[in-house]
This record gives sequence, C-alpha cells and structure tokens, in this order.
Amino acid sequence: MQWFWRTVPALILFAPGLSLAAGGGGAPMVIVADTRKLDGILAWWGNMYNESHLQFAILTIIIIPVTGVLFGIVADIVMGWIGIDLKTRELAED
Amino acid sequence: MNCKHILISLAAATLAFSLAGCNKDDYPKIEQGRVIAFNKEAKEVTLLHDSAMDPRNPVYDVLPPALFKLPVDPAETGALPVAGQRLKLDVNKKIVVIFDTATQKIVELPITVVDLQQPVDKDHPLVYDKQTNKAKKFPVVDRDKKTVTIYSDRQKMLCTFSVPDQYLDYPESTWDAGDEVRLTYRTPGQSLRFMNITKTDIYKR
Repeated sequence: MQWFWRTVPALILFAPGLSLAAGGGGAPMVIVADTRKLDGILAWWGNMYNESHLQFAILTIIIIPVTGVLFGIVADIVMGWIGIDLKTRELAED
Repeated sequence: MNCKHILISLAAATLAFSLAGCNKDDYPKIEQGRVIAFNKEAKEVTLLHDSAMDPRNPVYDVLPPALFKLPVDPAETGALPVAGQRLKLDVNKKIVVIFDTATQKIVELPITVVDLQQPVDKDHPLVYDKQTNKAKKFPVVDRDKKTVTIYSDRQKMLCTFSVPDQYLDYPESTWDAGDEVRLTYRTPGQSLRFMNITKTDIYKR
C-alpha cells in the first residue's frame, strides 16, 4: 500500500510535465506586462506580475476568497432589501 | 477568533500589501521598442524606443538606440529576436523610414510604389507557400529592377517600391522590420525579463 501513496502524489505532480512531453513539448513563454501607461493600483498589479510571479500568485490567492466573501455579503444585504429572509426558516410542512 | 475576525484580518492584510507596493519606484522599469541589432554571442540587443506607447501606432524615433543584455536567467528570456532596420512604411505619404546603421541616424526615404496588394493575410498565396507550408521570405531586393518588396503583417500589405539608388546596396535587413520587444530592467543595460512581442502569441494553446 505504501507504493500507492508514493505513486499517486508523484503522478499528480508530474502529470503536467508528462502531458507537455506528449504534446510535443511546451516552449517557454515569457510575458512582460505593459505597465507603461498604467497608474495606481493597475500599475502596481502589473508591476508585481513583472517582478515576481510568486508574489502575484499569493496575492491572487488572497484576493479571490476575499472578493467572494465581499460579494456574498453584498448579495445578503440586497436580498434582505428585497425581502428574502435567509436568516430564519419556517418549515412549510409539519 | 471567529470567522469575521479572520476575514477582516485578511482584508486588512490585502490592503496593507497593496499600499506597500504602491511606490512605483520600487518596481523594475519597462522598455519597449524595435530591435535593430542583435548579437547572439554577447547576448546583447539594441533597440529603438517606442515613444508613442500605442500598440497600434508605434513611433520609433528616440536616439541613441538603447543597448540591453539579455537576462542572466535563461528562463526569463523569451524567443530570441530578429533584427531589422525598417521602422515605418507609409504608402500614402510614399516614405519608408529606416535606421541607417552606417550613419546611426533615422532616415526618411522617398519611395515610388510600383505595386501594392492589400489586404494580404499571413496565409495568402502571395506570401505563403501552401505546398511547403512555409511563409515566403521577405524582403526581396531586386537589384536589376531596382525595387524592394516588403510584406507587412501589421498593415496586411505586400508592397513593391523603388528607393534611391545608393540604398540598394544596403543589407536586406535594412528593409526588414525587426522584432518588437518589451523588457524590464533596474540597471540600465541589463534586462531582467525579456519578451519578444512579435513572436509571442498569448492566445496560442
């Protein structure tokens, strides 16, 4: 059974590489974001991408759930305004 | 610590992270231009700065040319560039703008348009050989007829024109548009990340 726990993570880790090899290889693609005309938060966002993909990835990972929660809170408030009550539940059939 | 506290902390951390990075000087600078010379051995690229900063209408008019070394890390280097000295071809004004390597100046040459085909896509039989599945090679310099034929992918145009006699002896790369590149740098002359815009298709799978 030990081999199973070694093989499965290895397959998960190396599957993308194996797929690339099967598909004729993946040429490295280098992208530099054009931040020349950007300002403020957009410039910062683009520059972060250019500076460090790791920082960019970490920030994206943080921002996505935070944005989701904010949207959820806004949706709750809007639904409250239009009369949909999500906080209490009345059973229709007893 | 309940869920609310965690979320507020996360939001605050994101805000702090954002504000911490708002100083533009902390980030590498961007240079974009057209490659007029490339030394593969020395890994040095010479480019003319795009002063317009408009992807559809670039203007390469800043002298002297900028010299940059390719990034030390090969993983930060995109496709190697092809150099060319043609900067602009305007068939309406009947001019071609080139970087004259002999004088190190930007020169505007008057041309006489002999033939103009438009629109010509990349896969048009005039510019693409379907039997060999290869793009035909341009520019074509015909020294007998004293003409130069250029294909411009950006303008979707195949144009044959004549130039003043003294320019016919110039190397073929004079009539070729070099690759457009974008790079980041902190120290002038040493790029940190190098992108070949012409050869990078971000939509390709």
